[in-house]
Amino acid sequence: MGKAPHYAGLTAASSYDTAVRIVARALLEEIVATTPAVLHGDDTRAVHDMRVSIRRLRSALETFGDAFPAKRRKRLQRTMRSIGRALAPVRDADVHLAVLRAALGGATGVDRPGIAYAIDTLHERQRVALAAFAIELSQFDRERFADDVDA
Amino acid sequence: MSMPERPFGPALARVVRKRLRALLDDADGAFRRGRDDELHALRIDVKRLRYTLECALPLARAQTLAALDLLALLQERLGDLADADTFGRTYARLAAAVSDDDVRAAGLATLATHAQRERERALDAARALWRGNDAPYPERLAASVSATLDSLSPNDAP
Repeated sequence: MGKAPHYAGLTAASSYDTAVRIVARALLEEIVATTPAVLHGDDTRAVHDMRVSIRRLRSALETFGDAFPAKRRKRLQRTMRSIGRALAPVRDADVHLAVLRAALGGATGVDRPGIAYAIDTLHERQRVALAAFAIELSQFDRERFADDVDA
Repeated sequence: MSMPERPFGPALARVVRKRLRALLDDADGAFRRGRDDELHALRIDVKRLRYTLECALPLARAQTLAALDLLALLQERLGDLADADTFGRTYARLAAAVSDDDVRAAGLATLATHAQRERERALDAARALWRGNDAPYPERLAASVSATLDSLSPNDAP
């Protein structure tokens, strides 16, 4: 399981609106920090971390969305939903490929072609998914997102 | 006259209570029936409560970590189950694209069998966690979440 996020400055007495912005900004920073490693394409840990950060942010926007005006909230949610959906198949393939590679190592001769076929198929799916994710991410306007969070 | 700003702690406590109730309401039926859709919904319940509770970490670290550890454990068990379901569906699709006498068919059938066994093992493990050894999981979770909730009043904040 990933480590819990660090919401510096959050207290029980923080105003609701301030607290929600602290949470959203911290998660946005985590997403941005993992971006280079994710796009590099061979860092499964970074892909996992980014996916979890996106989920956390989507959850926060859903749970505490009333801290934002409706139009802005919808824009924030839509943006994170698009990025999260684009990243999901990349991570799913990472997890599945790890299992299949382990299976291939202990496979009998008769099973090897089928397992190798599954690996090749998933590897190709992952390659396509990563390219699609990179396109999705290139359309992500981080500064506007941050402005929407802060405003 | 401006509106007084509402504090975060009590608002967070209300959401945590709601999320905990949703999880506890869904879990018994999901574990009893073992259906993919219900177990998937339960996994979402767990994540929602976990991510919401993480917001309480700076407010009540020690109390919240205990609840988060419990949730992480359940999420892991349900994650194994969800992975096995996903893998099984993938193998079924791949197998449908090759003929029975194809050299790849045997390996895909072995993978499908393994995924089915892994699903059964993961479901058993999740059910065992829910039943608990010393105390049932729902009681442990409710108690640890309650300890966090007690600390979310602004007056109790460090």
